[in-house]
Amino acid sequence: MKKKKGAADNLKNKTAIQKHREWRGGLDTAYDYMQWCRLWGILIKWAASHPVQNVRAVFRYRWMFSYLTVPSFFDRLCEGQRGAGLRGARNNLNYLASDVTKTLTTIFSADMHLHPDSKKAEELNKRIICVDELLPNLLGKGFPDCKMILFQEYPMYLPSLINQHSPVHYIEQSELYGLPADVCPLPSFEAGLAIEDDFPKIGCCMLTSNMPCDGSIMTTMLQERRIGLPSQVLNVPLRWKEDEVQDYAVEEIRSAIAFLEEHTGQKFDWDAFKEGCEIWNRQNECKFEKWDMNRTDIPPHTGSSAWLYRIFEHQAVAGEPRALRNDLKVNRILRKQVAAGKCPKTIRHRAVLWNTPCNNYANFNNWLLNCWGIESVCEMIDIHGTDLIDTGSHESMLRGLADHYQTSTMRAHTKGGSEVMLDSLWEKYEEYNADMIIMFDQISCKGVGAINGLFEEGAMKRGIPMVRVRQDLMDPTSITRREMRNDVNIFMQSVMKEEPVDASLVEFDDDESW
Amino acid sequence: MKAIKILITIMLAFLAVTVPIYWFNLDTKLVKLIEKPMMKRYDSMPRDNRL
Ligand code: SF4
Repeated sequence: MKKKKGAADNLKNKTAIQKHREWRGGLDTAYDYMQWCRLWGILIKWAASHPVQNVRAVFRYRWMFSYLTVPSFFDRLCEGQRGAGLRGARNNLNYLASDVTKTLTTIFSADMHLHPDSKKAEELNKRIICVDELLPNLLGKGFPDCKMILFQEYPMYLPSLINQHSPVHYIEQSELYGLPADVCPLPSFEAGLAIEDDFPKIGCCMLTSNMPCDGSIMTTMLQERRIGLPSQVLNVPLRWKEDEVQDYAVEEIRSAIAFLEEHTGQKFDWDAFKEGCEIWNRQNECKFEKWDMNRTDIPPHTGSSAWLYRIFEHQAVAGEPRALRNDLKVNRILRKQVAAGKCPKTIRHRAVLWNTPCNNYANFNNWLLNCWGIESVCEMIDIHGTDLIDTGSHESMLRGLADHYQTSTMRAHTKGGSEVMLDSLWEKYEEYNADMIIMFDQISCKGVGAINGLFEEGAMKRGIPMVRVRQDLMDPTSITRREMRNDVNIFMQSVMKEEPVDASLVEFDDDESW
Repeated sequence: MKAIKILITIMLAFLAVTVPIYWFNLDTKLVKLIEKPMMKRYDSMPRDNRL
């Protein structure tokens, strides 16, 4: 009998490049093709807007190579997707591409590495505020004539997701420089960029922060030496559930506003800020609706494109009208499928994915679903910044913003005590009617590592199947994608005694894949 | 009528070029081809690592 072809049979050995793009049925393939054309339209528009500058940027910055692989990255995030899931994912990703290319244009137009001695670039820099990428840039809405840029987002965070090998060179540089090799790869990558002088030279001032953890605080020192901009730390309290810290959190923001006013020469615009907060509240409401839909038997908006978009929205485009329009469009698409009761995927298990996901395997969720039928109905990284901001007064908005910071990406759960990291897991498990937990064991996130035993005890006490998946956030040289898959394979075969949905995906070599 | 003919020709030409690129993943394969030379270039760039 002829062996049935699986998804991995269409992948080239080692690079995992698709021999041909995925056949998803006539309608979905046509939709995917159109969205692919839309993506290329965005990329060509960007490239053609400043051709010389962009070519120079690609040749100047190693991390820019990763952006050339974006079409392939989007394909990976949409692997196996059909119906509303595919449509939602493609719209989210293309919105992301259009926003990122716009920001890259601003960055490169102002970059003194690319335009040394340029008066025009100097002028542009007077209106650019750099902020640590872990500080959501909603505050920037109060400076409508300036552009607030998440400083490490574009050279570090996004490339680490797009191309798993992009952090390796920079991590090596920080280790060669003599920095300890056992810190989390995120701050190591940032330090490597500073050592290699691979951050764009932009901005008039910089807001740094103590987010999300000690590793990041250390690397800020190195980055400051390289960047050389006037800077101020915006401290965000760790024990964010406690009321006593809130006055301090608001004071920190007031002081940051005074710092930004001084260096940009602009007055903080409360009306513009209020408008930004109101848009953000509506973006958040769209997210709540998506979560509600994911609690049904037909979870339509799951996987990497959902959490990646959420992080980007929360950090980079909170309060952005175009992002809200995308959310409303995607929700309309998802609602239709749920109302029709259609579920175009094989779901055997509903899983809660806990702890920080693995950047160097952003499409891990797709693999879980396509190989074992494990649907990621709820993810820890997706749940942050969920309180609506009260826009009634200046004070209430600042309190809302302080909360928005304290419940930011990685911070909401990995700091703040066991009730947010541990208790919340069992609540979400019930809420989403889950039947298993995928626990990321991020080997260099020591704060969470310390309570690994409590997760295991809790799962055992409740009789919940829980698989631990080792990973190292963005360093594929410590734990490979294959090893991550293997953790799940062993669990599914020996504990759950199950057969895969697609046997070709159980074991394949993608070590050289982007 | 002529305008419609031109429009249809343009659309067909667009499809004839882009559909094979899409289906055979030629855009990704092309980027893979330039990866090595690009990395060589980045490796050979002079760097000032003093902080
Ligand atoms: S994964 Fe953990 S150690 Fe790494 S930056 Fe985030 S909180 Fe810090």
